[in-house]
Amino acid sequence: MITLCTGAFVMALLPLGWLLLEGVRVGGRHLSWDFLAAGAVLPGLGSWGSAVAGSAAVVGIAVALGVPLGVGTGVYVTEFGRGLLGRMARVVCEALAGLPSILAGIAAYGLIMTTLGRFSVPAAGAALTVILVPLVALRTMEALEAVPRDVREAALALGLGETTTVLQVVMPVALPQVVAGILLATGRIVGETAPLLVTVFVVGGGAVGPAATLPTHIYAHAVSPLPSWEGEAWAGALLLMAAVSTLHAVSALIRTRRPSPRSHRLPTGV
Amino acid sequence: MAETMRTRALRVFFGDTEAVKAVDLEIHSAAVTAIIGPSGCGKSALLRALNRMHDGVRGVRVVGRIYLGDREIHDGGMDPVLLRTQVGMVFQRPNPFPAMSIRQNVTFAPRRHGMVRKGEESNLLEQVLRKTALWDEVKDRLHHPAASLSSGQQQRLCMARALAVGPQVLLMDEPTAALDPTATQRIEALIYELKRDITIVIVTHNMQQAARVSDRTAFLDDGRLVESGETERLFTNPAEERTEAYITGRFG
Ligand SMILES: Nc1ncnc2c1ncn2[C@@H]1O[C@H](COP(=O)(O)OP(=O)(O)O)[C@@H](O)[C@H]1O
Ligand SMILES: [Mg+2]
Repeated sequence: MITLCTGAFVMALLPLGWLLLEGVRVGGRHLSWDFLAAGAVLPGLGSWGSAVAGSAAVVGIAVALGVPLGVGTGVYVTEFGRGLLGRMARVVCEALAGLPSILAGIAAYGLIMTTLGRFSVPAAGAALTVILVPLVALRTMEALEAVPRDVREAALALGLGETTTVLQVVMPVALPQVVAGILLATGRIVGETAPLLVTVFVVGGGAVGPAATLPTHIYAHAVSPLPSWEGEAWAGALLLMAAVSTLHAVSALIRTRRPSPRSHRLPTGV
Repeated sequence: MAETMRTRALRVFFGDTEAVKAVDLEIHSAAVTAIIGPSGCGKSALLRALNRMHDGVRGVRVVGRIYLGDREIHDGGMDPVLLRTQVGMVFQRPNPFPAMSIRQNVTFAPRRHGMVRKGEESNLLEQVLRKTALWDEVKDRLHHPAASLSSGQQQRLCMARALAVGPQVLLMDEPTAALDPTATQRIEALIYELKRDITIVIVTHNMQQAARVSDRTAFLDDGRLVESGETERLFTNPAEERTEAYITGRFG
């Protein structure tokens, strides 16, 4: 049984390991400041640097919109939404979190691009927001629900109102978990390609127009037949992996941090 | 002796289950009233009705009247916030606010209620920490997290926190059930001190504790108030057979 489990684990790790090794082997050679600045071989195709900037802009929009919306939804559903609306909001979040990301892209495409009439950074930001909100909302709900009930009771028994209790007593306890969840969700959207392909994927571009992003730039290079481009795709993938891994590592650090070195454990039972 | 609180035909329902059945209880001023009875007999349900902790909890219904002084606490004119600052509560498990320091745990509520000016916070803090015999133990680390205290200290901090909003009545639901004997002894000593100033109602499943700390005892069985009266009388000369059976350990 144990051998089987170990085998399955190794099998699962193999592709990941190969990805990393191949990324470092093929892509590592290409990584440099020059690579970020130049790299545009064909006219109209932006540099890798512009792809990084494009990703930052798109993810930045999604985080700026999605974090307040997601945390707000999570707080509402857990703490105030006792009625039908609250239960519906939770179901919708769970459904949206499982939504294939291409659908988010198509939704953003339909809503924003048809009105603006072109590929754009805001449209891509909106598509990623649609993915981010339910993830952040679910993480917020989990974090708030993990706060012991007796903490809320203590606050209520002091005559503190529900809003004060939630925002100033319960939320600070849940905050590290919420932040960790936000980082994980951000890691997820940094690497999303599908919604970007239908919203922002076009060569070159400006602040609100079309732009390159890291995932789409990798895609463009990977599908090219030129071997040097393939190498650059690996280099881009390496950058992406580094970004996502950093977010995951910080998130894990926050989640596993011990609350307080001298905190006392209460006797259980009774 | 004057009554601080009294209940009339008080019933608490959890769904269709009647956990407290038509209880008429008198709670005397500046005294300790113990509520005893077997596990599940409705002690907590009764206690929590006294400061309306059942409010807004789905499936719970409270019927009957509860008076604080001469005011009915469910009266339209009675503000639940005001009620809870006058009738405070300490719980079975110490539950300090985890994200706050020792100091913040005590000062947060009085500050929110506008009961204390910024310059007077330290006075209030020292006063209630002295009342709960914590001052000497924590005065040098008021900014440490409350979680850094031992569980006995945490429970005394919870008492200090409750006292900081100036209640007339303090409700305690098995406050020593999660503590070791030494910590329990300290809490019992505090209860003895505190009753000079405020009225205390303590739920306990420990009859020795009831006998040690209380002036009056109410015996609850299956949601009904079987008997209540002076502790010494109730333990030495119970009026009801059921009470005698319980205190002599024949059930419960
Ligand atoms: N939230 C609840 N929902 C349903 N039944 C409950 C709830 N809380 C308590 N009860 C029931 O009400 C009765 C009294 O409970 P409780 O007051 O907690 O007892 P005690 O404190 O005396 O041990 C018990 O039978 C218990 O099972
Ligand atoms: Mg109980």
